[in-house]
Amino acid sequence: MLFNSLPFLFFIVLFAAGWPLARRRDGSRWVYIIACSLFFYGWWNWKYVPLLVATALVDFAAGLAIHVWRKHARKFLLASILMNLGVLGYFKYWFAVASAIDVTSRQLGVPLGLHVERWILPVGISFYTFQSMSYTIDIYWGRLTPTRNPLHFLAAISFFPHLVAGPIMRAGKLLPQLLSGNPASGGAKAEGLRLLVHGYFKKMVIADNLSGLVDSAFTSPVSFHSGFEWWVIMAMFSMQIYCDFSGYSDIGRGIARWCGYDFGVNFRHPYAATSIREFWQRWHISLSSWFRDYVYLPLGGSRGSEVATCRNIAVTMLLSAIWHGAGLTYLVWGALHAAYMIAGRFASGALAAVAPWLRALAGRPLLWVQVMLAWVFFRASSTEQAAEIAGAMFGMRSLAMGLSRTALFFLVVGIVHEVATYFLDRREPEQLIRTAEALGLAMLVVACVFLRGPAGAFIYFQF
Amino acid sequence: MEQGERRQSGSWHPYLVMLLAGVAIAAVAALRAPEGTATPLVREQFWLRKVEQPAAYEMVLAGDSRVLCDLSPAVMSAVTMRKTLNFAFNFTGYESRYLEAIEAKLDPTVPAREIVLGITPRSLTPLNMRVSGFLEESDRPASERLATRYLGGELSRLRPFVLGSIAVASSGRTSAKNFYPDGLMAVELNPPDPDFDLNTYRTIFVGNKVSEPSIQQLLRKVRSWTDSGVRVYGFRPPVAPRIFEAESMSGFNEQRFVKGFEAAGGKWLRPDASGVVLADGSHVTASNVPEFSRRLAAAIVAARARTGTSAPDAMPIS
Repeated sequence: MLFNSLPFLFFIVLFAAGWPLARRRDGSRWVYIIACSLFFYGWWNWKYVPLLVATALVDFAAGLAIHVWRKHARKFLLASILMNLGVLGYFKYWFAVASAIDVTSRQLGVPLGLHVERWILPVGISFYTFQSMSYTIDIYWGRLTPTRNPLHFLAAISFFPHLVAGPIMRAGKLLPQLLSGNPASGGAKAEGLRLLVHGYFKKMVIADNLSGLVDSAFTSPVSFHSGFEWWVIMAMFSMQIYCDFSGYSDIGRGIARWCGYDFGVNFRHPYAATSIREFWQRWHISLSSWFRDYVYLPLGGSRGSEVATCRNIAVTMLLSAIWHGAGLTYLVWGALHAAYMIAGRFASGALAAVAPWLRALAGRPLLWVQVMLAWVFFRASSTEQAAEIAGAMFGMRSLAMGLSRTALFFLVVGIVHEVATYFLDRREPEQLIRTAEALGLAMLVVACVFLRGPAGAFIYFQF
Repeated sequence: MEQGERRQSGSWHPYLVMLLAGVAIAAVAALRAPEGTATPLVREQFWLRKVEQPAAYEMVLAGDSRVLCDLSPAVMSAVTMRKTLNFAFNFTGYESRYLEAIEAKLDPTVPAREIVLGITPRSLTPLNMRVSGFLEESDRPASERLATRYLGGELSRLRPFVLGSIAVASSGRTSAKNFYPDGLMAVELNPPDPDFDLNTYRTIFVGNKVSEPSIQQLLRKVRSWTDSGVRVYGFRPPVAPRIFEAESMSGFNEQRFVKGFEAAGGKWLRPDASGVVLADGSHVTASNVPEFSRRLAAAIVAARARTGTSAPDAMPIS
């Protein structure tokens, strides 16, 4: 079920109607969360509900086993990780890997005749397997005591506001919150409303109105647009993917706030960063902090030599790229970010010593160029297309500009909205709503209805 | 406000903000002008009705927006004496699902069945095969169909504003669309502008040429229809001279296509389009639709007569 669909409107109204009653009693709260979340998930494809429940139950059992039989904890952890990665790998990567093996074997003259069947990717699988894995790893590291009630764990994993496109909620953070049935405070509801309204505005008005031009540009021949137009198109895509994904996160967070729970910030104005490192501290925070805690730091982080640190950065960024998809384009996207981060490590130190003002002045524009170039690979259908677009952008053979004025209008709206919320977000999150803000929020809701673009699925559903 | 909390003076409860937004939405919805005035049918209901039409017609008009906006089934059926449906959609190509759907609208129990295909270069391009108004309308989720069926009129007031039409209005022009139950979407642009759509036609064929496999697929279908006794007519809807010139970028070879079309058993028609006013250069203006429809219907009747299979119930042109 999409947050921006009519069925969800009915679903959320019914959920909200039952929640005040269900939340009060411990037993009913868990059952209500699980039942509603599985219905929400099953609306898309009910056949994958058992997969979600089964992976959660296996990790629940693994968590208990790790805690109880410490001697064999490593084996149980390995089993849990292998199960999660196996499921993820099967649904997400098997088709690409098997196809590649099949093609190669045929080219080598020893056809293996692999039966390659493409499965529908269970929506949200990358998110909930990572949530589940963090649970068993945290128990193994002794950071978390496992819950003894499978309903508690299943509710934490399947809670619908974060289920299909994050934020990646670690059980250690969400489980203790779900134990409480306290109602949301007035401040929490004010924050929840802000998140919902801005989230829907970002998705329905900005992202959906930019998607048409971006999609059409990427399905047309590259030469159809001038180099200058490609820069503008990539600015539009940068805005679209940010508004689409952060909009989804905000809507999920907003619903959770109304239920009395706090998911934490997942996007903190990433394009306001002045370096790639800072960008990743602001973009999809729940995923980047997952990779930091479960990959980068266990590899040694920045504690070793420069070479080891660079290797750790590269491995982390490449794994993050693979998390997004099996295509070569994602790998190049990850490799570019790794290269930026490694180059940034050396450059920022030197720059701070020689001309600290230059970093402040040129940091943001440089970051935008780097990120836009990397997004080309993320969005393109092939590395050849991406290389051609990058060539057009840097070749700048033509400055012609004939893009739709409507799309340009929504790019400007996106920029204005982002700058405004950058400053508005400096206040206390739970600050009550004043008259001017009430009018502003009402106007944004009106815009969501009358300026909405063609409804599309959220980009991150495919991951 | 929850227990133990006191609302600060001047602050708004979130429910009150939602109420304010609801009132504002209701006000805009109530004040906005309806899209058309000629029929009570709103756009969403029009498309749903079209997609869900039963297999009950003797003549089906198919194609992209240039059939959708140019041909009135009411006028044509009076001339051809055939129960007619305009089954055309915006930016639609002759892909397999659409071809099947056209056939499915014909009444299988009547002997005299006819299909009229509006052939535009755009309807034979890969873009229209992929991004098609027919596919979009056919694939609407059940929840949307349900909402349209029962709340169509009310929901249409919540339809998003199209910024492009605001730009048209600000340029001093007026435009209107009227949706008819028989499948015609009549358009008006006042004053008419033959170059209004020119830029679209100059760009749409860049990297998007007429596809030979699509032509062959269409011709195979024409052959199977004619073999099963369905009469198939084809024509090229009228277009302004500069747009016609822009269409040459598509690689469409009309002569060759007509040859193939007739070899597949179809009849190619050349209805007289002289004096027909085009609203935007590629769609007949609403007031001229009856006249153009009458001329095409006359051409069909004449074609029937030429092949010696003229239906006894065919009427002369009024």
